[in-house]
Amino acid sequence: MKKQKRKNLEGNTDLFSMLPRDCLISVFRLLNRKTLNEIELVSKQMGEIVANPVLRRIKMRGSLSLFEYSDSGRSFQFVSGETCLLFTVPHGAEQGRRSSIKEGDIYPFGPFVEPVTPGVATIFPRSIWTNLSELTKRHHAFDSVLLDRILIDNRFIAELFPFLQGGQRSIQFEFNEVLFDDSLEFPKFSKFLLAANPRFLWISRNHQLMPRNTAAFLSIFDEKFLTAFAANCANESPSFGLEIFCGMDRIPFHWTPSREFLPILCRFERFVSASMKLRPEHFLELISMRVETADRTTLQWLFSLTAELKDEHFDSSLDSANYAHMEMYYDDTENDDQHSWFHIQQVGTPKACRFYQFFHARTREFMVEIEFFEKEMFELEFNARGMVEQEKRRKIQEETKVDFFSQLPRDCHISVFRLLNRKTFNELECVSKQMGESFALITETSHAIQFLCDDWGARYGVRCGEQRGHWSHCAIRSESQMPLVLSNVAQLTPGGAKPMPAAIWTALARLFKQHEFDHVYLERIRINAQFLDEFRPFLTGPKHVELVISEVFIDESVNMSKFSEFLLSANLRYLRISRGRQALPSDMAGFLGIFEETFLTAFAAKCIDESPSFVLGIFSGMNVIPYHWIASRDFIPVLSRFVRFSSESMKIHPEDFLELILIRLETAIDYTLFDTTRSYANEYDDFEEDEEEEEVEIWKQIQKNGTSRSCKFNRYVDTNTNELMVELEFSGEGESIYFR
Amino acid sequence: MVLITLVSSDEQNFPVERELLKQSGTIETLIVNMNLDDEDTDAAAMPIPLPNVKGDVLEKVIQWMEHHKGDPVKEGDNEDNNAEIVVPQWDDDFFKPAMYGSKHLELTVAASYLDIKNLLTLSCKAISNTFKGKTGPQIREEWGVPNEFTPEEEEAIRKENEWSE
Repeated sequence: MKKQKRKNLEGNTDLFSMLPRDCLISVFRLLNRKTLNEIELVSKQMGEIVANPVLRRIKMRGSLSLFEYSDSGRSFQFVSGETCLLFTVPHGAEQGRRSSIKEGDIYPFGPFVEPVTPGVATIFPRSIWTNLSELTKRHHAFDSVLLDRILIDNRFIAELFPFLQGGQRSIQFEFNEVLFDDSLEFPKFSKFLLAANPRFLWISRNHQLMPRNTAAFLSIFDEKFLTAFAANCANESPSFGLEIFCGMDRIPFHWTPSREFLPILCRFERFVSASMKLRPEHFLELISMRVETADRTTLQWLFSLTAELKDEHFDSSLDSANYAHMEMYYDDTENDDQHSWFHIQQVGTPKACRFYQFFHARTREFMVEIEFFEKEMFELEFNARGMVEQEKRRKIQEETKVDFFSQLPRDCHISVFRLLNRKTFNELECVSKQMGESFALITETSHAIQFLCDDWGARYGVRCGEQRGHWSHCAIRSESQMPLVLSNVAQLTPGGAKPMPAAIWTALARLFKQHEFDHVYLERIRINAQFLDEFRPFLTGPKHVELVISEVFIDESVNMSKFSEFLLSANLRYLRISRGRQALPSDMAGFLGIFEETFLTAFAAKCIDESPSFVLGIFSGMNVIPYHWIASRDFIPVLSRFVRFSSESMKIHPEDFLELILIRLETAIDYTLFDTTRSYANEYDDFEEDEEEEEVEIWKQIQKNGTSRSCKFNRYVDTNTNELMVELEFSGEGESIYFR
Repeated sequence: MVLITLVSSDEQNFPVERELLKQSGTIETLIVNMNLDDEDTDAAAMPIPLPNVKGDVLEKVIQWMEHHKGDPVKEGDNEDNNAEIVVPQWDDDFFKPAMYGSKHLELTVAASYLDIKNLLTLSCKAISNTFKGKTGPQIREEWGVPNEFTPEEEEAIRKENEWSE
C-alpha cells in the first residue's frame, strides 16, 4: 500500500479532478456519513459534490425517535451510524437543549417510568418541531421512526407528517407504549399511516390503556387497510404487528379475511394481530402458499382462528401428496396448559413450517403462532398424528373459573411473584388491579442494576430500576451502528465483550449514589484487573447484595487471588456465577480453586444476620471437573447455614453428608418450634419415595417424626462426569442444597 | 464466433468476442445502431471507435469483461452505507496494482463511459474502500489532492457537520 501511495505522490497530481462528477457521486454514495464528512474536507470540488441531494440524503439518513420520559422531558433523538443527536425539552419548559452524543458519552436510552397515562402525557412543544425541521431542512431520509411513550392526537400526527414525506425508501414505523388520545380521528390516523409509506408497522403496548373506543381503533387495521399497506411495499416484504392485547379479557374487534387476502398476507414477513381471525381451511391454504413461495425462511406470524384446527381440516385442505404433517399434543393438566405443535413439510424439499395452536384462556380464542424455515427432516412418521394419543387429549374447559388467586393475602401474592421472571410479571400485572398493587410493593423493595455488553460491537448498556417490568437504559455511544431500540430480549453473544469505557464509571458512581441496589448483575462483560478495582467500591455498602455474574469473560490477566479478594470484600449474601462453555477461563483449576473451604467460610462469616447462598453453575457439559476439594468436618456447620448451595467441585464424605442434614434440620431458623431435645436415632424414618415410578431419579426423604420438617435428597451419577452427585431439598423452604 | 473490433483513442485495435460486449451498454447501442448483428453486415470491416478510452485502459476493460462473461448485472446492492463494502477477491487483485493511481481512475471513467455497470460498481467500491476510516487530510495526501482550505475554513466545516449530523 505504501508503495502505491508513494507512486502517486511523485506525480503530485490531483487525480480526482479527472473523474467526472457522476463517477465521483457513484463512489461517494457507497460511503457512510462519517466518511462523507471527511470527504467534504478534502477539497472544495469534493465539498460541492457531497452537497449533491443523493449524498445529502445519505448524510441525513438515520433513525428518528420521539419520546417522553418523566425525568427528562420530551425529546427527539436522531441516530445515524456513529452520530447520535438528542434534543430535549424539559417538563414545564417551551425551549429545549440539543446535544450531540459522542462515542463514550452516556445518555438516557429508555423509559424511566411507567407508560404515559392520560393527564400526564403532554403535547410536544413547538420547539421540538422547529428543531426537527432544522435538522431535516436540507434533505432527510429516515430509515425508521419510533414513537415511544408519547401522546398521539390529531395535532401530533399533523405535525409529524411532513417529516415522513419525501424519503425515497419506505420506513420502519413503530409505536411503543404510546397513548392514543380519545380525540384521535381514526380515519385520519389510518390515512396518516398509509401515507407515511412504512414497510414495517408495529404498534405495541403492554398496558391496558387504549383509546376509549378500542374496537373502532382496531377496526382501522382490517383487510382494506392491510391490502393498501402491502401494496405500498411493492418491492419489499411488509411487516405488521398489533401487539396491544395484553391484559384484555376479550378482543373487542375481529375481522375475518377473505380468501382473496391470502396471497397478500402471504407476502408479510412478520404479521402479528390477534384481531384477525382466519378460517382454519384458509389457514392451511395460506401455509402451503407461503411454503411454496417463501424466499425467506424466518418469519413470525401470529393471529386468531375462527375455530380450532382439527384433523378434518388437514384432510380436506392440505394436499397430502405434496405435504406431510405431524402433530404433537402437549397436555399439562396440572398447569392447565394444552397446546398442539404442528410440523408441515413440503414433500421432497426442505421447505417447512412449524406452528403451535393454543387456546388463549383470557380471551378464549384459538390462536396460532407460525414460523417458516428450511430444514431437511429425518425419516419422521409423517401423517402419524398423535405422537401422544388423541384419546389423551383433554377438552379445553369452557366453564367460568373461580378467581381463587385474588382471595390470597397480599403477602402470598408477593411470595409467589418473587419467584417469577419479568416476562411473566408483565403478563400478570395486567390481570387485575390487586395484582398491580402487589407488584408495586415488590418494586419498592427490589432494585437491581445490570451491566451488559452486547454483540452489536463495542456498546455497553446499563440498566437500573425495579426488579420487575421496565428497566431504564443508559447506553454508551460507540462507533458501531446502533439499533434504534435496545430490546430487552435481544440475543446477546459474548463476541462483543470489550473493556469498560472510562465514561461508564462516572455513571455508575452516580447511580450507586442515588440508589441502594439489592441485586447486581454482571453479564457478558470483560472482567480485568481495572474492572475489579473500579467496581469494588460499589459492592461494599452497608446493605447485603445479591451478585449474579453471568457469562462474563475473566481476563487472563486477572490474578485469581485478586478475584477472590474482590468477592470477599463485597458485602454479599448471594453469589451466583454461571458461564457458558465458550467463556471458561483457560486455567479452570485455578479458577475453581478460589471457591473452596477458606473462601466459603469467609463468605458465610460476612453474612451474620442472613443466610448466605452460593451457586457455582459452570459445570454443565463438562466431562471432567478439573478441580475438587473435600469439605472438612469443621465446614459442615458453616455449610448448613446456606439456604442455597451448589458446587460440583466440592466433595463431601457420606458421614458428613448425614451430619449436614441433621444439623440443617435442627438449626434452620424457619423451624424454631422443633423439639431438639430428643435423640434422632429413633425419630427419623428413612423411606424411599417415588420408587414405583420408572424415573431414573430416586429421591429419599428423611423426616423428623411428629413434625413436618424433612429433607429430601436424590443421589445420582452424572452421565458426563461419572461422579456420584446428591441434591437435597429441605421441606418448606423451597431452597435446595446441591453438592457432591 | 463473431468478433467486433474496438478502436481506442490511440488507434489500437482490439478484436473482441461479440458476446462479451453485451456487458457494455454504450457498445451495445452502437452495435445495434450500426446493424453489426445483421448477417449481411461485415462486422469485421466496421470497427467501433472509442475516442474516450486509451488502449492500455481498454485492454484492462476487455480483460475484466472476459473474466465476468455472463455475469448478471447487479444494481443497488449496497443499501447500507455503514456496512462493509465487499469487493470480490479476483476484482480486488485486478484493481490493486492500479490503486491510488491514475490508471484506476481511468478505468472507472471508462466503465462509466462504456456503461459497464458491474465494472463501474466494483471500481467505485474499490475506490470508496480507500476512504473508509480516513480523515480528510489523509485522503488528500494519499490521492495527491492539494489543500485549498484555511484552518479556519476546515474548522467551520467540521463544526457545521457536528450538528448537521
